[in-house]
Amino acid sequence: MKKDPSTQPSRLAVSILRRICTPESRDEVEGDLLEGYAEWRSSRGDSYARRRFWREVFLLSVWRIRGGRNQAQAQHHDTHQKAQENRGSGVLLQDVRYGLRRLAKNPMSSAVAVFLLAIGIGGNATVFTVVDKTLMEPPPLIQAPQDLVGLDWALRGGSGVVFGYYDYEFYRDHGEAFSDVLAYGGFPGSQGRRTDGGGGEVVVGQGEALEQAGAWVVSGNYFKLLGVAMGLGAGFSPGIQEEEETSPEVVLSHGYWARSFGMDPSVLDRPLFLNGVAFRVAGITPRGFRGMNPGEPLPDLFVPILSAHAISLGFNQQLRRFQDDGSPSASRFLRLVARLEPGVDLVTAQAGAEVLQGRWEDEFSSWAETVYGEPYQVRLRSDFSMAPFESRLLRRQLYFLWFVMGAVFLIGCTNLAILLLATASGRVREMGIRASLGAGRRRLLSQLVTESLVLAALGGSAGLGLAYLAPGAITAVLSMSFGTSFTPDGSVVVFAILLSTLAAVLFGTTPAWTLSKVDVTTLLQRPGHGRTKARFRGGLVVTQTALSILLLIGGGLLARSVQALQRVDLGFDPDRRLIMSVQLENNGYSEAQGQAFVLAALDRLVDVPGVRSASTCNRIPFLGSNTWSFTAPGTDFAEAGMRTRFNLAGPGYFETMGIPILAGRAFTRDDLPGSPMVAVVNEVFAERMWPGESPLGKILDFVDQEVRVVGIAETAVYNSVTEAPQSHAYFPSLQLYQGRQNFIVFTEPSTSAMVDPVDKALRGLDANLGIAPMTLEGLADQQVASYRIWAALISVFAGIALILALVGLYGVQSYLVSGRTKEIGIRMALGAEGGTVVRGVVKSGLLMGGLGSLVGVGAALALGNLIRGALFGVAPNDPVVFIAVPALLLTACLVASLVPAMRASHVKPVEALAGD
Amino acid sequence: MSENRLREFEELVLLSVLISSPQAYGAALQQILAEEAGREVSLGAIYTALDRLGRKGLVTSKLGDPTPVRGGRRKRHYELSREGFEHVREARRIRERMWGKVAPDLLDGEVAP
Repeated sequence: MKKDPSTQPSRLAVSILRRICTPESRDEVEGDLLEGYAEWRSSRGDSYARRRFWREVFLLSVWRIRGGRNQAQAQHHDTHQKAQENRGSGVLLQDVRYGLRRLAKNPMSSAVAVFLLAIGIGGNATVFTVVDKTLMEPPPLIQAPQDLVGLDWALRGGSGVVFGYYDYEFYRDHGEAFSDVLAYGGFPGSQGRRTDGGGGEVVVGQGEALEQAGAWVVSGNYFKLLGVAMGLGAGFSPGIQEEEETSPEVVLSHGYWARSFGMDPSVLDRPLFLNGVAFRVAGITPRGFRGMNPGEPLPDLFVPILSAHAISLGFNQQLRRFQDDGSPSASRFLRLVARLEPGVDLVTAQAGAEVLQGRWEDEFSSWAETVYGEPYQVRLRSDFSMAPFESRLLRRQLYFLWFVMGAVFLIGCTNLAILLLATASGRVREMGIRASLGAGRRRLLSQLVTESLVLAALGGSAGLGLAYLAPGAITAVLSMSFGTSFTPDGSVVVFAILLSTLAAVLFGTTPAWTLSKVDVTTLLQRPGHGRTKARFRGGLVVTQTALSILLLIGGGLLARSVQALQRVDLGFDPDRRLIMSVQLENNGYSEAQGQAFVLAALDRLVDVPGVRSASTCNRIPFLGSNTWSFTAPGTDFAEAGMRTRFNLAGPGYFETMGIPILAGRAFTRDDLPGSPMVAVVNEVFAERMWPGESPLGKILDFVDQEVRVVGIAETAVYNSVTEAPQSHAYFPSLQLYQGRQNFIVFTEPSTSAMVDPVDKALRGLDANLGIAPMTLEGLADQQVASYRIWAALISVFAGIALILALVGLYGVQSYLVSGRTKEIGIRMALGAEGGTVVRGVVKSGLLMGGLGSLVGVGAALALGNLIRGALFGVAPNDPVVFIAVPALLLTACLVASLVPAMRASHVKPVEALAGD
Repeated sequence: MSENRLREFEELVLLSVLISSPQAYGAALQQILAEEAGREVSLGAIYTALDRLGRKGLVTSKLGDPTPVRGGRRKRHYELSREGFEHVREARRIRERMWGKVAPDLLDGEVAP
């Protein structure tokens, strides 16, 4: 039968009571209290008894904390009770207090220990946060993310994530497994990703106050499908998804609104001018909305696809499958994300997509064959937020970072173990006294472990503080620029607690074990320095050396990669090349007007004092490219084309860029529309298309036109400094006009001095033009930047690791020397030279360092493949690094051993022997 | 000896042990203090006093055998040591001697202003 709850005291109170009691006092205390409870109940009633019980428990816990039952006395007087191990949790508080007192007594070494742990735990916690927020958790504020799928296309082994608008319409209207589909992307032809905001450049404002903003085009249902409610405003009007005639609307990102409008809510009430056209501000994204891709910065502006033509004149052309003249077009710039119908899973949806594929082929196969050669397949992916290559890259970087942090953490723990072992000798006496007073081994062990836990808890809290204060420091390292930094949350606290506990176990148990073995008889003598202990300490030093070697080698390999990258022959000269980028189409220029502008601009630019030469092109290195499948009669690529990147280049382009023309000619002002179409190809292109023949005078098919090759250019770097030599073709930009014009200016003085005069020259032609200045050198530098940051990061940690290892080695050596004082004294009294003593100590230091190096080098060789992908121009077993790093370490070991060795050699035999 | 001087509360606990002897244990002492001295004292305070008295060698204790009375929980029985007995006897002697010297009219409660 169940007892009436009121006859029992609170179960919680009883369980607390049990916790605060030591086993040998539990019976007594619990019995007394329950007896009291029964008495209070009968004399004063239930509620009094319950209150009183709680009060008693509370006061008993105070009694326990303040010292509780005197153990020696209790055992002394208690003949019946056998000597029992005192390991109740009541003891815990006592040990914690004791641990804190000990830490406070040695503030310096405690501070060092806490600092070491803070770095290890903080670093790991930060990486954990980023991993958790990007790889584990769906992006914030998105409703039911589990029902979202991303769409990929696959074609002949290749695949991609970017679709055309016509594809979007098809899947939106016909996908039965999808409740809706959204599309988003940068403006077509926008140049790469900007680090300060995504998408293409749009000029915002009117009259004098103009600024550039990054913009995405999104389908009108973008926010609705994601389930993201506006932070302010009602969002896009419902018609914006379907009707082209709706007046243009825009949504501002919260960040842009805060940055440029100081969070002024009245922006909703007035039109915003984008490229001179009035847009209605439909809303502000909610704070904390980061879009879908954690590795992609959010744009400033979200423009509905059907409003975008107001910004970019030719935009609606990009949406169609066929151009006005009926020729097929293949402008792809949109990523697609679908929301599955309720109850539909990925497999069913994929099957549905394949059925849909049949319909797609019926409808579009002739078009697809013209544009792609064959129809592509659609695949669904559950990770809607990132393209596979993006998540792979992010994953690799994060795990690599985690590996580094893990090594640092281990080194910190090893160092602490050494530190604790060193202080352990000073505590032998204390332990002896405790043991002689009746503390059992388990009791001593639990006290020592508690002390380690206290230390770990302090280090963990400090590390967590670090993770909260400096989350940006780590994310800055990743080559993907995150729109926001990541603030740690509850799960990272749990992670830090686990890590702290692990740390305490790693560095605390061995010293504790050693210490708890202390014999009572050691009280009578000075603690000896056992050989096993020395070997154990040596082992720790070896571990540490090995770990730092591993990190140093990693840092060294990356540093060599940076060197190699800087030595890469770009094939063009980035020095003193200023780029002024304009998008004429977006600024309202027709083709004829744009053509006239380009010619006038080129004339003006060369007249600016300090300009050596000037030209224009459609694409600049590292910021994306155009591709085309080129066919040429009488070659291997007569039918299936050779897919190659191409650029549109103005007169004087090769000269201005510093790209040598190896044979034939470059483009001139006479390569105009109407004159015969010409092309320049690079060496790789020529060799692949016409092996062993001169390409000069050969005919290429490009957009159904015959183009004659008139020149060969030296192969350069186009998309990335790490790319293998690429085939490339150039066409005259005056013959094939594009709205995007990048004016390249080769300047006499530094580019920074020339930005203003060049800008002025262009504004002389159009005062309202949006112009984005860049330098070729800056773009090339950015290519090396991520390598440089990684190399710097790992070198910093490797440096810390090295210092820690040396401190450890020094500590162990000093300790060993001090323990051998007597021995050395005797040897010197018997005539040993100081030099012999020094050699002996140094030899043991080098032995430890050498062993550690061997292990570290072995590990580095074994792990080489992990880092291979992150290296450039250097093998994972690069001999320079593998010789230099151990040499450096051994030299450092020599120095770290020399000081204690010298001290030992100055031992005066008389003092050493009198010492005890 | 100044070390052996007791606080008033410790003396009360000592007397309570004497009163409830040989059944002096925590809960009993608590009840006696409540009934005889009118004090609601916490067990924690009683244990603290007993600890102190034990350290001074005035009180000894031993665990009793498990009995079914308190759900099998053993009691710790306290009793006065030889020093403890001497101490209360001495304290009583001092007090009685001093009370004997107090003017009898003061005992009636009227204290001269």
